[in-house]
Amino acid sequence: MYLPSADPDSVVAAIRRRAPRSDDIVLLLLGQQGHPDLDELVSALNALGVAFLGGVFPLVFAGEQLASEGAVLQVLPALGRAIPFWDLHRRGAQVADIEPQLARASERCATALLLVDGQADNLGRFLSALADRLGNAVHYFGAGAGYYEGLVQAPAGSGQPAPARAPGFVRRPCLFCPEGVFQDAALLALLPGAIRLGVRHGWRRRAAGPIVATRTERNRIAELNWRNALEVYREIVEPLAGRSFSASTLYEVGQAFPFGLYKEDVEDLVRVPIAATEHGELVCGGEVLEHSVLDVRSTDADALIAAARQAARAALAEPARPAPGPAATAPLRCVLVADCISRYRLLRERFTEELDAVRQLLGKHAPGAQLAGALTLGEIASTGEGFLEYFNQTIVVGALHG
Amino acid sequence: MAEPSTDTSIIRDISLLYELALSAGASLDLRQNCEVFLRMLMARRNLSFAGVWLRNDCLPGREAEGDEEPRATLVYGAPTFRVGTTSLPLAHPQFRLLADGRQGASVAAASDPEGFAALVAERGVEGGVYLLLSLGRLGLLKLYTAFRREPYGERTLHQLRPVIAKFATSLEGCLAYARLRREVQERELAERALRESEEKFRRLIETASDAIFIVDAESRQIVDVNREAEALTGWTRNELTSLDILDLYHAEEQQQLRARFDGFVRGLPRSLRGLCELVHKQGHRVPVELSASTVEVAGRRYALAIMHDVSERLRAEEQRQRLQAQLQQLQRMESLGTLAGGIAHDFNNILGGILGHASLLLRRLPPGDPLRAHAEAIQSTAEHGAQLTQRLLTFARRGAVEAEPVDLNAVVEDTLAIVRRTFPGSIEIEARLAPALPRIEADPAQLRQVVMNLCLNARDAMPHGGRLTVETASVDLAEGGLAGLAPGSYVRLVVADTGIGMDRDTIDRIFEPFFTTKVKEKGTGLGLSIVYGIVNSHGGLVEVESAPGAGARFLVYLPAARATGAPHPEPAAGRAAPAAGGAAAAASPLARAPQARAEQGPRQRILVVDDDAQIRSLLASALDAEGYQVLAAADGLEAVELLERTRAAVDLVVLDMVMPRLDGIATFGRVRALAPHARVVLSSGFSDEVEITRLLDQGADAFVAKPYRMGTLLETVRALLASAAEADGGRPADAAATG
Repeated sequence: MYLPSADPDSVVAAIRRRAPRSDDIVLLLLGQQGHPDLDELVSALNALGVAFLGGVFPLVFAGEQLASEGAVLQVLPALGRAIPFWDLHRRGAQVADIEPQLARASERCATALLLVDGQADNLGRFLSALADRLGNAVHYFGAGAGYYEGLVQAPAGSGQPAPARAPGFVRRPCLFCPEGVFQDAALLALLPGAIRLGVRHGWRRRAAGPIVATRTERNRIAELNWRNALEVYREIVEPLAGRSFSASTLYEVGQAFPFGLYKEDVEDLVRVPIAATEHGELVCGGEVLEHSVLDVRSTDADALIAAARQAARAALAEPARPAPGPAATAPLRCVLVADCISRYRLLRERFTEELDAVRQLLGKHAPGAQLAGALTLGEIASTGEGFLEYFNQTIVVGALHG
Repeated sequence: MAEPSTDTSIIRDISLLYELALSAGASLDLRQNCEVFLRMLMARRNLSFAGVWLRNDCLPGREAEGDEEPRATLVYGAPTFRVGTTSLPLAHPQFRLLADGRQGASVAAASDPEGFAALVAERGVEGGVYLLLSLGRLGLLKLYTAFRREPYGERTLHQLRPVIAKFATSLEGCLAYARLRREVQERELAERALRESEEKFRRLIETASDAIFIVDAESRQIVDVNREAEALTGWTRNELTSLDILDLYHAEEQQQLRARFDGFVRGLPRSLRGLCELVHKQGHRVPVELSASTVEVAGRRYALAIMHDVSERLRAEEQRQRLQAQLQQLQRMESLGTLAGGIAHDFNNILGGILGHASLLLRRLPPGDPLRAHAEAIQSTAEHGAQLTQRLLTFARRGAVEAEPVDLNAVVEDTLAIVRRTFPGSIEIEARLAPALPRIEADPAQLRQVVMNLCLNARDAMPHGGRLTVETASVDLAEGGLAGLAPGSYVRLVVADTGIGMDRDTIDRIFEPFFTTKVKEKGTGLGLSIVYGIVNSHGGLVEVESAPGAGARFLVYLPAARATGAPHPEPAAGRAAPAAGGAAAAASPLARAPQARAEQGPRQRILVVDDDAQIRSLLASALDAEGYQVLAAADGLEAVELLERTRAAVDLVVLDMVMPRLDGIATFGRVRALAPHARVVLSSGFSDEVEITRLLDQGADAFVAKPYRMGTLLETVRALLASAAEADGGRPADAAATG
């Protein structure tokens, strides 16, 4: 359900109305605008005595609502409290710390629900370590939280002042759970209900390449084709975009010309350059292995919306591989969507068509089921069999049962 | 997904091979190398599992395990949740599938469920496809995907073969590196252990209480030493390490030692042990106990010599042997003394009888009787015998000591005055007398005898002349200094000659009575025995230092008097201290017998107590002849019973001191109780001077040493009875007075 106001009193009142059970967990997706002080919200929720996890996103949506403020609230059956992992840049692979909690819950766990700081450094290693531990007994659904300034600009002539800085990602604490408010972290909720996943991005057009990522460090590309990465990227993309760009305006162009990485049998992986460092390193929304052969992708609105439809179909309509867990055949509880913010920026006014595609299939295959989601800084989805990737430019639709 | 165009497909293949080729060998660490390469492969091929199986005989540290059944180990598997078993025999189907030299094989669950099932060694595998790729002699790479239903085709296998071969080569590099690191670590560990061991042994050597020398066997040069070696030799470590080991020995011994050392380092004998002497840097010799062995280090032979300074031990051993010899000498002399004393006692009794009878004979023979000459000869010969027994008693320390503070220097000077007058001129006489010499408690006459006897002995040792030196000195003896002497201050008399000297056997027997090396006419063999007896009776000790041809030194130690220079108290008036002496001496200072003849002689009653029947009978006859009424008892008990039974009045008792049953001392007490006014004459040839003195102090009236002339005894008896009469004014004897 969508709450127009995310102030603690409103959230607490809404949760009380939902009367969660002791083994439920409350998922809160906050719009980045006007949200309350997160510490106060955590205190209020702790006082209420419920298990919860939440994140801040540029936009959130539920039902027909799409808003940069307010909150989306979803009560889900869970196997205990949310588990925080912090200092991912230092301890990205250290899941052994919570081994006892995982051991208790993992036998009945069907779905791993993840909220991560979308700008955290070590997400790739963290996800690998987590998948190593939980294995293919669970399906993964996750969203990268974070702030993006300048997403909603005042209409021209409205009299409101222009933003003080260029639009872009801002690193701030964006995750919360009973243990506090976190940045550079991840929150994990283990759910007994099964989830069916649909994952698509629609970036299939190869605009340029191949290019070799000759020197990388996790999600930073220092060199392309043995040269400064930003220089090479500009040389390739500026003619394609028909405009020049600087490091500070990189994302404006980069979101339309992401890198593609080949992946056999499934849709290729996409990496968006979201920023550039002063040394000309490209910071991507996910790990890029050294020596990876990349190409530059482009797409159009139709392809993106079609991809969203395919994702929704995969989650809601196709006879996919049976999802693990005792509740695999239970009725659909809700549909969770993690939709990359870049898609919103590219689709602009047609973005509603992307969500409508999901809503239509939802109405057709599971009328009455709730839709809850957010525009994200990265997306997570896996059936556990393949690599647990951190996607960019992707829409992940998760149909949660039970 | 739409099929890519041919160009795109080729580009993708080339890109993938490029990525994989560059990812192989990214690290020399085996795990890191696998991680980088297989993450890339898994990401691009969308694989569900990748595992690297290597034969155990290729793994560092496991090559020599010698498994009964050859096996392989999973050295890398990702994701780890799929890792099942990590060790498989090479007979497992996954290895057999490539056993015939095949470079790769793919098995799909859908098309070959049995073959697929046989390959499963991982967890969570349901359906999908395995792809096995050979890593040559190392093992194989096992890939699995859950997303395929059809096995990988030949094209894929051919496409991957060169990259996998490169990966295998990189693994060889990793294993070689691991082997090298392992060897380096083992070497480092060994080197550290060696360093620690060296440090440990260095400390052990440095802190050892023995001197340790490490010597190059070829050059004999000292290679290393410890601190104790520096202390032992006086040389520093730097000085020592420039020396030949033989340089530490005296030049005279080096030749012999060189031969021994050379033989030793050749292994004859294998080790050396023994005593030798080093020459200290300052020149003096240091006796050491040596223990040496050879050791080979890095192909070079060294001698390890451990030396221990045994100066103290040798000194202590020498002292112990000297003390033990002294003790044995003391014990032997004590035994001889006991024997000589016993013989002298018996001889005294015999001679007493002879003398007594001779005296009686002479009394009864009228003057001019031709038999008197025989009787006098008997008497003279017996007296000569008595003198001899008296000397024996002196040796046996059973004579009396009349001790008084004596200046030994004065005694020496007195004696040397006689010596200088009487000794041959060929003998040079020198006196080295220590000034301010402490006095000694001694009988001066006996002391003179000691000095004289030693001088006479020296004279006899120098028949062709020489030097006689007499020295005195004050010495302080520490604990254990000389056997039989307590620590304290002593006066030492040394009489040295430059005569013929003595061998060890002679020295050992020199103090034995009648032992002599002189011709029969020149000595009785009692001179030094008397010296020994006198010195011993004074609480002193006499030692001899001599060697054949090297003269002799007699060292006499006598305890210094505690209060030196104090005036010597005179003996109490009328009370004479007992003194040793022959029959001639017995009458004079020993007895306080007045010289006046007794007027009341006849009819006065005298009790004779002596266990020797002959003496008892002789004495009874002589007293009876003088007109005394004589009672006789064979021992003290009989005397006491007689006094108690008869209540007889007794005016005088002649009491022998050495008797069975009840000896003289005990008898004296009983007699004093039963006859308090009776005069008592003590008589003994073999009694303790101290006891005699004590009895005199307790009221005994006189002491007459055996053997005595009968006339001497009768005079003593007569004088005592006369003085008693004067003192009592005619008081009747004990029994008469008491009724």
